[in-house]
Amino acid sequence: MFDVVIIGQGLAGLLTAIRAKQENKRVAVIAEGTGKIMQSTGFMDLIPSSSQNLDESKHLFLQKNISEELIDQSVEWFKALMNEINLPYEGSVHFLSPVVTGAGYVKNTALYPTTVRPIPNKGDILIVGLNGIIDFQPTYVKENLMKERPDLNVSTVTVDFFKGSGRVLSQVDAARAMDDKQVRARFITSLKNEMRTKEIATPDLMIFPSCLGMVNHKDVIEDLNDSIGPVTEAPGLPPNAAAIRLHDALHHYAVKKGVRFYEDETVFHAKVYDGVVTEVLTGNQTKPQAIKLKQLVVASGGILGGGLEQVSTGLSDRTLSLPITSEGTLVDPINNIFYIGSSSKMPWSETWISGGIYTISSSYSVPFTSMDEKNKRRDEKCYINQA
Amino acid sequence: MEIFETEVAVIGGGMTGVGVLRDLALRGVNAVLIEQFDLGHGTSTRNHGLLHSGGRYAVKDKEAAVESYQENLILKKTVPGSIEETGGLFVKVPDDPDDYVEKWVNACNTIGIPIEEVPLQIAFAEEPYLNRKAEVVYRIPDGAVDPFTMLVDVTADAVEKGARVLTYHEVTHIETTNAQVSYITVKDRYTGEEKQIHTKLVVNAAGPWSANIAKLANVPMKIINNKGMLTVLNNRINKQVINRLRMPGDADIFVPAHNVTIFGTTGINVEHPDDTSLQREEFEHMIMKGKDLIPTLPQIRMIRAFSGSRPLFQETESSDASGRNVTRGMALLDHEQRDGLKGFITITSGKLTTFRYMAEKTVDLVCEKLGITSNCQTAEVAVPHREAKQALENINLTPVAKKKLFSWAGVNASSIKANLLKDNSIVCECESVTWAEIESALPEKGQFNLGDIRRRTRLGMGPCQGTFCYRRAAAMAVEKGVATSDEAEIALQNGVEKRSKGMRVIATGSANKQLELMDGINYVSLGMKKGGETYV
Ligand SMILES: Cc1cc2nc3c(=O)[nH]c(=O)nc-3n(C[C@H](O)[C@H](O)[C@H](O)COP(=O)(O)OP(=O)(O)OC[C@H]3O[C@@H](n4cnc5c(N)ncnc54)[C@H](O)[C@@H]3O)c2cc1C
Ligand SMILES: Cc1cc2nc3c(=O)[nH]c(=O)nc-3n(C[C@H](O)[C@H](O)[C@H](O)COP(=O)(O)OP(=O)(O)OC[C@H]3O[C@@H](n4cnc5c(N)ncnc54)[C@H](O)[C@@H]3O)c2cc1C
Repeated sequence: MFDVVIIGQGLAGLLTAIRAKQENKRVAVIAEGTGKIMQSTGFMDLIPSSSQNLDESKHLFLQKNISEELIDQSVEWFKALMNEINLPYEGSVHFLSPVVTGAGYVKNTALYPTTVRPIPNKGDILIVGLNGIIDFQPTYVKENLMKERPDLNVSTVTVDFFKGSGRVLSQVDAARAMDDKQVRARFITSLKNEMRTKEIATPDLMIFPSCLGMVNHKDVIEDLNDSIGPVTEAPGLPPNAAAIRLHDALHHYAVKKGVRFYEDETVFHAKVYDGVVTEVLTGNQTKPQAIKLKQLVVASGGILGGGLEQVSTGLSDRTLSLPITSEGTLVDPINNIFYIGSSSKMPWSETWISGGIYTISSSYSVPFTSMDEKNKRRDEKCYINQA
Repeated sequence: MEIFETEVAVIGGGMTGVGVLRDLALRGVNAVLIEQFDLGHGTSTRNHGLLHSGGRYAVKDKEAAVESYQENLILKKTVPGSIEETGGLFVKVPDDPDDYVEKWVNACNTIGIPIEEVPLQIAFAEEPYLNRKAEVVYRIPDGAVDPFTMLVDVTADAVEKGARVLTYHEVTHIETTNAQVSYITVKDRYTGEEKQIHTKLVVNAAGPWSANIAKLANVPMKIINNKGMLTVLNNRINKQVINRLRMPGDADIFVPAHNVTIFGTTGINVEHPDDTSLQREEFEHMIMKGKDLIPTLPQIRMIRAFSGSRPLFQETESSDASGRNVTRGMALLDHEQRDGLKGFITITSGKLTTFRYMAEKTVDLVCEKLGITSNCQTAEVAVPHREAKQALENINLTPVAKKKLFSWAGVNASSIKANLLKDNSIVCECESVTWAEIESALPEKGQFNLGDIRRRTRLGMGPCQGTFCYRRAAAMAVEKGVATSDEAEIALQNGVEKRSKGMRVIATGSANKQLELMDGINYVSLGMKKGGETYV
């Protein structure tokens, strides 16, 4: 028997598991895959693919029962957590920060890891490509960036880092390589040589693909900073090291705190007695495993995360097998089931991408009560209704 | 205004037009082809890719069946790089009328199409997805044709033999003097610049648009545009073509194409040749029907859907019906005889399979008009093969990408090889497309366009539908100075929109999820702005 069972180990599932552990609950996470966090950027956007600020969008959050106060509290909690796990985040939901992406477009985000710096309006910028990383093309990034920031003075270099490997490398491959002190030193020497050959003076900011170290990112940034100058990552096409770092750090911390993980397991059914969910079934239909619980948190990521599937007759709930609305939530709400993150449709977008801030605040909104209290409150509610 | 001269101007860069162009080139006739967008903008890249053996028409339309079978044999010989000799099955399932089988067998025998009855157990072993309730199965020499490569290769061979091609040029005017065509005006779609082409003879091969072209010449003509939908399955589920053994109807053919299967089709008359809209209901109707042959069809993952229009010529009552309607399978109109306009010929209707024959008949007429005596050579002279194993044996590339190039590079082998030495990056993992191939496919002039690259390299045709490779190709093009960032942006907006359209109609399962991911990466991760500028 678990106090809290969470379906999904994306950003929503992991944050909720950690919070439940902070409240001393017995917590299990059941997940069939790693979650969209792995394909994400590490940024926590307020409203994805929009520049709306909180004043303009708080009514949308309210539609999902998330108040401005709750957002503030949850962001504070998130930042404290990220400090504790050595992956600090900066930024604010009240003043969005312009950041450059791996395509050179500038987008506004709320929170960003400290491997990223907001993009200034003025100054000397150097965009650094790594030969072999096909997903980051420095001249392309430069040209797009200059359209949005015409006053920047931008130059580019490409460092022949993986010479002769003949492979196409991802940003994560490069990040792992950068963790090694010697490799890093060699890289810095090559970069300096390139800069000398192209007569590039020390810039105010260097823009890199999201590859500045996987575990030793602090050292990578420090070394680059000490030997050349300030740097930022520009996450783009997945996989981005910034996103993988976030996942790894949260997952590692959750395990350390005693969250029980059932990985590569798919939940396909929920048992409901008397308006309360008591267990979920995983494994296969013929020999299912029942996991008993007091509270169930659905963090199954909707269409993209795999909790829901669009079939020709509409949306289908492949997780709980309960009747759902076109928003992906229960037709008949159940008191001890909570939908968070991208598991239901957002009022602000055509797509199912909820964005980091909603994911954080909805995870934070789950009330961890004991079953008895819960029942008591429900009884009270009935009583009031009757009165 | 730029003015140039040619003996013959061919309007339309579909299979019919490029077939005519190559035939003219082989006969030594000076010709230029004008296409309003890229080669294959029309029906020629929006079809099933079935190299008919005539079986489908055997009962209904004997002449079309004979033509198909003859051309089937000729194309296997003359365009071998674009044809896979898959063979095909005709399958009768319960409820298909019994008497059709006998009629069909007799018709095939009379025409001379070789058929052979296949024991059910063997058919099921060969095609595991086939309905186990199938009652009768026949084997027939159907094939699969890659319309993209065939179009490009036939054109390249024509150009090699002296023909000229103007893509992204729209014919906007046809000037006639004394009941004789004197010149046509074409407009560069990118620059807006106009050019005059003075010519003795215009061949209208504009497929579904041929009535529009006729109108430019003040000639009455009626074309019915019969739109058909097709869907691409994620995998190749059949080794050979699977047809239904009954009167041809909707959703009764599965054609293998490289690593996928193409399934369809439907037929709905539409007003405009540009109408390639996709309806969800039509798609569902197709899946329901297709279950009769492949019962698991609703569970099979689909990549995208697309549609194209069959140009069906209708003789109008007011005009002289004698025309030169060679067979029911195609319409060759001598407008001098039909409408009293000299120097204007229309070739339309027909099939991909019979393009060469259509071209032969057209160019026979052209030569007659121009007083040239020269025999058609396209039934014997082959287009260069795509095979390139020897030339590329020693390249440094992953085994999958290498294998693909061996049967793909063809006449481009040496340029691809040279490009690979500079950069051997793989841009599209689904279809193993290298930057080197993209570079060889880029036009010398004109705009950077991902659709043009896709049609020549298969970039973005796989399950991810360009989610990754379109961005990479655009970024690399800017990096290497072959496109400006504005061009790259327009190409991306356009490319992403076109890919999404075909995915959106599938709307369920993995295609729906893939579309969500594509939007997520473009608009959320990368911060691309929605609804930027696209092409006209
Ligand atoms: C490509 C991409 C880029 C993004 N970029 C950004 C960005 O730049 N900024 C931003 O703010 N947001 C971004 N996001 C959005 C952000 O990542 C999501 O809002 C957030 O990740 C949602 O997380 P989630 O935990 O709700 O769902 P997910 O991460 O999708 O997790 C779902 C989890 O549920 C599991 N699951 C599903 N069904 C079952 C089942 N039946 N049984 C067991 N387990 C199941 C899955 O395996 C997975 O572990 C991006 C998203 C994507 C896809
Ligand atoms: C759904 C479907 C499935 C099919 N399946 C098969 C099959 O399996 N096997 C088979 O053999 N056949 C098949 N066909 C038939 C075959 O695809 C067509 O008969 C053939 O492609 C027609 O080619 P075309 O060159 O005549 O026309 P198109 O390919 O349409 O070419 C006409 C060209 O003219 C251009 N054009 C138009 N206006 C202008 C202008 N003003 N200036 C310059 N250019 C202009 C257009 O852009 C276009 O590229 C199918 C057809 C459909 C619709």
